[in-house]
Amino acid sequence: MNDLERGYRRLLALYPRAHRTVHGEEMLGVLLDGAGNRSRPGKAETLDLLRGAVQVHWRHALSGNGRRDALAMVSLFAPLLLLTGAASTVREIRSVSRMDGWPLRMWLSALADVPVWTLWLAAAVVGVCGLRRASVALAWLATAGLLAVAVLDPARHWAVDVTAGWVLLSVFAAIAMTVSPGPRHGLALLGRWRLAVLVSTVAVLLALTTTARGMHLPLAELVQLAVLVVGVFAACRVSTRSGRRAALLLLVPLIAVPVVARVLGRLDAYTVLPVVIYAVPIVVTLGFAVLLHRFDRPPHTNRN
Amino acid sequence: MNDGALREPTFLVLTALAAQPQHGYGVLRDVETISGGQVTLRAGTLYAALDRLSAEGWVEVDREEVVDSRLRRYYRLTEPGATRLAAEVQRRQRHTTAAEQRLQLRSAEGLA
Repeated sequence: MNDLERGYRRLLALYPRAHRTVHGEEMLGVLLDGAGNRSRPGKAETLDLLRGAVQVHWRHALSGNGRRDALAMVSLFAPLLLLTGAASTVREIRSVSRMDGWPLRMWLSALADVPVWTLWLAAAVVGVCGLRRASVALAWLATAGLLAVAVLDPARHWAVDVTAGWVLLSVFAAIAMTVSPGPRHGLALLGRWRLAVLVSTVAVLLALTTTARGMHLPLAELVQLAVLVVGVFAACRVSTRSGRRAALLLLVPLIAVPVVARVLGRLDAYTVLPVVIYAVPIVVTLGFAVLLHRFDRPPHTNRN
Repeated sequence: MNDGALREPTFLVLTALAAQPQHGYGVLRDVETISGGQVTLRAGTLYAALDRLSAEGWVEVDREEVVDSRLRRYYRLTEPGATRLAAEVQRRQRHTTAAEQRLQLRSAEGLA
């Protein structure tokens, strides 16, 4: 094997495994046929192969019923799960209402994220009704709203270890809404019984989060985590690959963020907290996605 | 089925396969001939297009050969692929005809 072939093989290794299995040797043959007297892959050719690899990865990532179904499930459940974030709003409203003199600024702060949760609820309802474009628009509006509230109201919302999980789940939900067939398809896959399980899980989590206080907080957090995991696993059809993927996407941001926050807190590494707390769940999710993608079977091809 | 306008590489790949099955390198050379040397497809673009076109059901594998110990896979246009290409040809012809008529009008009115 000469340098040219080695170079081409290195570039072809960037393609999805399924694509390489079917087209790898064939592409290598075409590249070598067209190489002429070159001793290494040219710059334009390298860029073309890199762009092709990205296109094929992207198409494969979104094709296949398994992936589309997983994202449709996420587009149904993530907006509902996000409503658990409204617990902090409920707590805030409760504490402000106990104050003397009805301080306007405190009320504005307490109610600032109410539109966000309302938009997410509307996105889910509109999506289930089949109005996909409207649900996508509402999802991105809600995500932008959550980011705006987090940045503009640092006193209450810039606690990154609290907000990061919701922001990440919000972004995941908006992406799932955009690239999948939508919540209506998710409901058709999962059925009303599983939807009822997730709605119940959200209701229990809201109740637990709004009533937890004082010394029992760490125990309450563990109980909430257990309810979240059990509820999401029961609601997603985890016996199927798409169900497991959906559960993973729903749980990673909400589990990884508090775990990372705890670890960094113990290490007294607060300066890197904002970066790491967003990076870890994204890396974990992408890592799982790459693993699932690499171990997918090659697509069926017609051969006569 | 996607009814929008086909992108140029897609149109040229389908055209290259319209008359007979061809292998990847043959398609690359044929695209250059069809476009009068104006379009040079590379392997990355070709196989991304073939991957997409196979998924659409417009192109399928015809046969495989081993030449000089290298795998050659021949692709052919399917019936849905031929229908889609014909629709694109008609769309382009309509636009071309309209453009020609407007240019003739322009000449007739002495705007040139």
